[in-house]
Amino acid sequence: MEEYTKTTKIIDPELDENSSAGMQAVVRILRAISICLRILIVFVFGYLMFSGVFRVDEQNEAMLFRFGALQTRVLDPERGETAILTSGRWYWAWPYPIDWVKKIPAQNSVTLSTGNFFEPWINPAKGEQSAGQKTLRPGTDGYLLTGDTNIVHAQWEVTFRIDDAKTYYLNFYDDENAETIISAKKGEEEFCGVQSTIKCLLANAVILETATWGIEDLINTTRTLPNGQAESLKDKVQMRLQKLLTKVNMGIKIQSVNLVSFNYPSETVQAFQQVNDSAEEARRAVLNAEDYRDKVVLAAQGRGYSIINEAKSYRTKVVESIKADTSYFLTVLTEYERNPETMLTALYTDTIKNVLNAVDSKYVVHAVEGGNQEVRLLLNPIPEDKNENQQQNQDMSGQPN
Amino acid sequence: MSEKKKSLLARHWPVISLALLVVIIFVIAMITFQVKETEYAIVKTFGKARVDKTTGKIKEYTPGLHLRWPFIDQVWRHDKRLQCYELKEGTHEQMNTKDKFQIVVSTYVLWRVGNPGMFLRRFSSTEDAEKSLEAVVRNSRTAVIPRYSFAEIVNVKTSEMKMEAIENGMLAMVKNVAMTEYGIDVQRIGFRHLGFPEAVTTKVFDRMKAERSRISGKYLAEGKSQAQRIRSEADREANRIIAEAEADAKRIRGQGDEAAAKYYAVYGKNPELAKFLRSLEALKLSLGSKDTLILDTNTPPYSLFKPGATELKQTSAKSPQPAVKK
Repeated sequence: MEEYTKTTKIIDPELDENSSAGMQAVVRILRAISICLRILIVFVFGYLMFSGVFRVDEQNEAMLFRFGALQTRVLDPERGETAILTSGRWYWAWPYPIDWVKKIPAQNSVTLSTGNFFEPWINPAKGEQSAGQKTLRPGTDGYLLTGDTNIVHAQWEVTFRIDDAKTYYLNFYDDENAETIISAKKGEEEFCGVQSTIKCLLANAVILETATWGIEDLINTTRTLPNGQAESLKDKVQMRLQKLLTKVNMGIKIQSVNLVSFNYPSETVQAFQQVNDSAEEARRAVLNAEDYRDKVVLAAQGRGYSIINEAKSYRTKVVESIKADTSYFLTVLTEYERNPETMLTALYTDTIKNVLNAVDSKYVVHAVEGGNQEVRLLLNPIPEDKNENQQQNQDMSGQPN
Repeated sequence: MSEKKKSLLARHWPVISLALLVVIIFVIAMITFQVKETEYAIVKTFGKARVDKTTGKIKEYTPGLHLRWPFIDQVWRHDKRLQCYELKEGTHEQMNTKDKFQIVVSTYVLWRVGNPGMFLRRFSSTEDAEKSLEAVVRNSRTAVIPRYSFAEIVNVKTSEMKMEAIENGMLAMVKNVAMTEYGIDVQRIGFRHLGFPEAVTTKVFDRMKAERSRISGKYLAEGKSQAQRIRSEADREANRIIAEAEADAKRIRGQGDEAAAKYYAVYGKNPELAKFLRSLEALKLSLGSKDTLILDTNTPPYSLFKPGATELKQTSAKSPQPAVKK
């Protein structure tokens, strides 16, 4: 080999020069690469140093895992060690896969609903109703059984917040993984995530609670217990759901449970409507009766006041009248005692005068000795209506008189 | 180290260190594995699970970084958190209650891996585990529910309801079998649906309609009855008010008459005159403009029509009684 090289050198001196130049070019390239690598190392080092800096938003809580193990640290000496990183400060973590940070939206409220108690093509939120379905198919048409074995449709909603981020994340299969499973199965729905769990628990609580309520109470969404205490359907479902969540230690806190929509099976809607109409009619009858009562009682009260006032008036009148009469009597008596005949005659004639003056119809008959005489009189003749006569005259003459 | 080597190291340290870093990372990746806080991990050497020498059981690795033999050891992992599974086969299963009512139920299960070693031996995937779990849950369902009557499943009397007992009964039955046979820790079994077979729903609708019709009639009858009661009470109240008012009025009139009677004593001074004056007063009040009065000429002042009326003589106040037609 050595001999061959020597031979080559002897044979082609120009090649040796070219080879040296080539080597120099390679060296130059290596140097350039070396410089680039140095820069790259510095850059990567810098990136590694600064990319590990992170902060936690106000609505989140975070946990730091190192090689998969949850890390704890003292953020507040009073509270001691904690695994939960909160907002308001900067943190640093090694790059993945050494460290990784899980952020949980602990302060956000999440709302989930159970749509499975309606027929699947019905959207109760839009007020849709099924049209005259004769039967309900198990597994397809959702519904609830009431305590008095009636069937109703309902949609419930729960709004919750993560109360304990560590328990929530470490105890329950998170929806991130659930989504992965769903996509891996080409869209086949798989129930396994936290949200599906909460939906199942909500449905469970609703089924258990509804099965103890009669349909009348469900319609009113409240009922009165034998001890007189009232309880609300919403509160009972919320209590039952919270109990289930506490039992399985989910680390979430229910903010509200709401009955979003409630309906009767389409086959029975008309019957329920008839009940409403009858109830309305009954209420109207009662209102009319109450109206009658108000009128009659008030009228009676008015009549009563009138009777009493008339009596009072009579009392005053009779007393005042007798007072006046006695006063008059005493005055007349004084005069009478002085001149009885004249007084009596004067009184009598005055009275006759007044009476005769007041009476329109008077007949004077000559007194006959013995009193036997026949007098024929037309008593109480029909009075002539002056207005009628005037009208007749106008009709006849064609002009008013 | 010779001077030549030192200068070579000094000149090419970036390349060397980068290469070393890559090699180190590669080696670490080959000989270590991470266990997350949310998962169980078991190392299998030539397919056999590694055993903890102190306990004699399959070794479960705690969260953190652990060593393994490259190519020889395999790491088996499974999420150790609770997950929800809704039964697929026989999702809605028809069954009879103790009193032969037909109902349709579906259930969900909250489960997690309880014994990773056993779980690893029994199942190759989560789907296999769920299939086995499904069978166990269905068995428990068909064993427990027929022990209870329909009234213990659906009832407005809360004290008679046994739904929670049914769920707990199924859980107790499943929990033991699932843990001992499959290494699955079942935390909860609950109802996801409770209903009737399709044919029965028609009959339920008919009953509901009949019930509504009855309630409708009841409302109308109650309304009518209440309205009648209110009206009769109103009439009674009105009569009471009038009666009380008349009684009061009678009392007040009596008071008036009583007060007036005190004044009648004055007439005792001359009863005849009083009688005469009262008669005159009565005469004045009894005749009005519409009355017809027929008198003869013996009655003053019509006595003036008689002959000799201009001759005055002493007469008494006694006068003839006029005929009055009202």
